[in-house]
Amino acid sequence: MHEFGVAQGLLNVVLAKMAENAGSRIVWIKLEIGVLSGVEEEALRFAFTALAEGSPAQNTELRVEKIPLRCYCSVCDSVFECRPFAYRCPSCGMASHDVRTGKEMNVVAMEIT
Amino acid sequence: MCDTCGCNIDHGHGHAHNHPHEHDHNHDQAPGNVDMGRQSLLNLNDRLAGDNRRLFRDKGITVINVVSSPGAGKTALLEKTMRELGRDLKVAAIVGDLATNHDADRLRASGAPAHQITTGSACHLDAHMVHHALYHLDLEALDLLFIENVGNLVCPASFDLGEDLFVVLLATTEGEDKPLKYPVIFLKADAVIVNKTDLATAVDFDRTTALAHLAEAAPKARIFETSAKNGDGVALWCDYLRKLSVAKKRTFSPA
Repeated sequence: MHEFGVAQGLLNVVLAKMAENAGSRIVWIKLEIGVLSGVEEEALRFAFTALAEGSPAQNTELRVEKIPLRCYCSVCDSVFECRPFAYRCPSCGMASHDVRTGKEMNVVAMEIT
Repeated sequence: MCDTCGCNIDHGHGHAHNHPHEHDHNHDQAPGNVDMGRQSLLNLNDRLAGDNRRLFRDKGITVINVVSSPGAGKTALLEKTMRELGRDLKVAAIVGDLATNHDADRLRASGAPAHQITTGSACHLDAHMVHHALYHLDLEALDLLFIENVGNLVCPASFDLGEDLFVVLLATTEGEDKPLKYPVIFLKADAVIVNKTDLATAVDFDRTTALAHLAEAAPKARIFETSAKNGDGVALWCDYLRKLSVAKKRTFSPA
């Protein structure tokens, strides 16, 4: 449910940037969404579309890069990719909760015209 | 406090253009691609949570964010906990629900101050709501603050409130596999409380399996087992909180 709040945050951020840059509308926005971020991509798209109506972000394409969950194994000194709740190093079987990626909810870039 | 929170200005750092001024900035990069610096969409919440955390640190207050699904026994456990800790510490609670003041009324009956946040439709508390609720409590006279979040095992995982301890309650009546079904929130848990142990037998709760699932899904969590109804395990939980409070005061004491 909180995708609406996240979408509103996104809209605020990009519209504030629009105010600093001459331009009429936003063509696309690139986002990074981690699998542990708690944000459902489709729900975010829906919320953003609804909120952006009538603003320079109307019809903007959201380019979402899904960031996988990666943990650090201190035994192997390596970073491994895993599914949520299977935080085990595939090499040595050691459990790790040292999350290195997967919590992202970032705005990377956008194009304005 | 509110000058730092900025709640009387635009929350998205928006630049309200209700005053005439010259726009004299660099237009080199527009139109075209704009680097957004990989900024987090939770920036505002995280900043306000940081403000809350600094305030709690300055006042030496230990803050516990309590989450669970609806009906797992958060309020009942906090009633017992606050009654027990209230004998030697100053405790208070902030409690979030979509509607009604029932939980704050119940917690107040334990003898400690409690403030209700009614979120309307919001499925979680955020740092801003907590910040405003703090105006309703006497922070000078406080050791421990409990924040009882909205009953929900999804959204509260994403919103830092400035707490020291993130606690997830799991009632035996919910089944052993809850930690596997809601991995995000359990991964964040500093402590997990298996509550309603008095009902475990009646609902065929498989304790061994539940603890194994918690070891996988909540690897950094300290596990407590309680019955808010008959008080089993509450003393151990309270001892732990007392130690946290002492440690925090020692670490951040200005003297």
